Amino acid sequence: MITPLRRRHRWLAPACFAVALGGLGLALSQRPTEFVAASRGGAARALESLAGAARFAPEHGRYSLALERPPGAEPRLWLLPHEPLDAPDLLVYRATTLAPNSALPDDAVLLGPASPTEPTAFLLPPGPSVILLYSLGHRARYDAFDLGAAAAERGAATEAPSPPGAPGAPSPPEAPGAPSAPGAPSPQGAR
Amino acid sequence: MGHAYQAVQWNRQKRRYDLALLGGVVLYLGAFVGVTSALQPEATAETLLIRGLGTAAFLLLHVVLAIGPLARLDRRWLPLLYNRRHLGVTMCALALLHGGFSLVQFHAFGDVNPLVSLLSSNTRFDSVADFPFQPLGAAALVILVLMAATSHDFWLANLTAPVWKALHMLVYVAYALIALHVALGVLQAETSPVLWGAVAAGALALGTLHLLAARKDAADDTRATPAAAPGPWIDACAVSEIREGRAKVIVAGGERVAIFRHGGRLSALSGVCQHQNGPLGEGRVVDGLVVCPWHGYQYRPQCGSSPAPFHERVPTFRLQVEAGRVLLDPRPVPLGTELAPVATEEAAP
Repeated sequence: MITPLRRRHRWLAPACFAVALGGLGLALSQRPTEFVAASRGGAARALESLAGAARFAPEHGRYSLALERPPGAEPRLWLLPHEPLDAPDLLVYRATTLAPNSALPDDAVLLGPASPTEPTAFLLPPGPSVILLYSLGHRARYDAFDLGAAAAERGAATEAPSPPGAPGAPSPPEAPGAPSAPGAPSPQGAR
Repeated sequence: MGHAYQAVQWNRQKRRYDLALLGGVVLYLGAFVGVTSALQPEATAETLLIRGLGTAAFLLLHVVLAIGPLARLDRRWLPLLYNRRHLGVTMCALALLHGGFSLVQFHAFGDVNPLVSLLSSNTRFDSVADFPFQPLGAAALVILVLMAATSHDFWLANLTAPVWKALHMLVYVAYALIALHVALGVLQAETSPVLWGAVAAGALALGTLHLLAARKDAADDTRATPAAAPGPWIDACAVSEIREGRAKVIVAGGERVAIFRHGGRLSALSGVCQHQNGPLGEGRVVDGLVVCPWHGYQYRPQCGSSPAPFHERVPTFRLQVEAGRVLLDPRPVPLGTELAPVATEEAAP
């Protein structure tokens, strides 16, 4: 009658709970290390691992920014959330000026989606850069960073993105709208 | 039990149970949204709703899965078991809302079919941290919906109890999928150990409860297994071991048989209710009928048939009493066969 069913129940239930616990342990052990570093030592400390990166306004808003210029490669802008953000649909735009209201400037160029949890890299077009975090869903600006102003405040012109055409200025990336740099953590906006 | 199906056979107890359940869900969602919006003011309303519904469903699933072993370990939990299906359907509704809102929020505004997007937007199966956790939740949701849709007695009767039970045993698979969905999803962004600890404690508690209940069942079965005897009759127990109106459960041929004492006579029935395979041997004889403790299904002890107009039947077994011992033939007689109850006292020679 139901002896086989009962026998199956006796091993299936504990097995599924064991799988759940094992999965939890595995997932805990494999969490992104960059994020763990950020939670322990702050976003700026996590960005220290980026050799040669110039950091901007590390305590600004909810993100830290850094500009990385790998030798022989195009500059990359890094965004690192200070803490997990409940904003799953943030997109990163680069514009030349900051609009006075919450609207998206006409010249805004999409760099890619911002991860609410992990450091994310974007290829940065040359020129004066205002970085915007914008939610299309809410039609609202979430945050903005004026890289030029930040560089001026720090008095570290060498750390600012070079103006277009300047000696040593990086060439424009072929695809300004490309999302993340190769190897960068992928967005996990749906978490 | 019923010969004509109704959506829900409401009674006072069910109404109170469902009102308490609904009130609890509303209170929980209100508290979750209030506390989370205070702690994380940047969280949007839809995010709060998705998370509130998801956590409510996950919590309810824990309650649903805990009731079974708790009722096996202590009969005082039986009243919760009586309407466990209502908990399950409520949990499924919450999970469905969570899944639906998530599908809209994260997949509905692109140029790809949301379901296609759900299954194809993340293909990083080689990464633990970036594993596509949403399809795991979707797979669990399919199981939960299937269970909720077949939870009615109509399906139980038409699928038969063993098939229905096997189908509903998939709830453990759903639980594992949901735990992985949570661990690979929201917990990847969680630095506080509180949530991790709570999810792990939940899985550990449920696993422990089920192991304890399984151990008790196995011990009960071992105790209830009579020594092997030559011939068809096995020595089940002493007559004095069976209380009036109750049963002594023994294991014969690997199956549970309940020997009931009613009006000074003995009858042997399967210890497994035809309805949800409940523990009929733990039931009582009320008004001359054996009543299952889980959902009140009734059987006539003489033939194992439910009283008209109902038509459930459980196997019955032949008994003898000799020298104060109850002897049982472990081969069931054909379903519905009338067997005269055996007197507890041997007839005088």
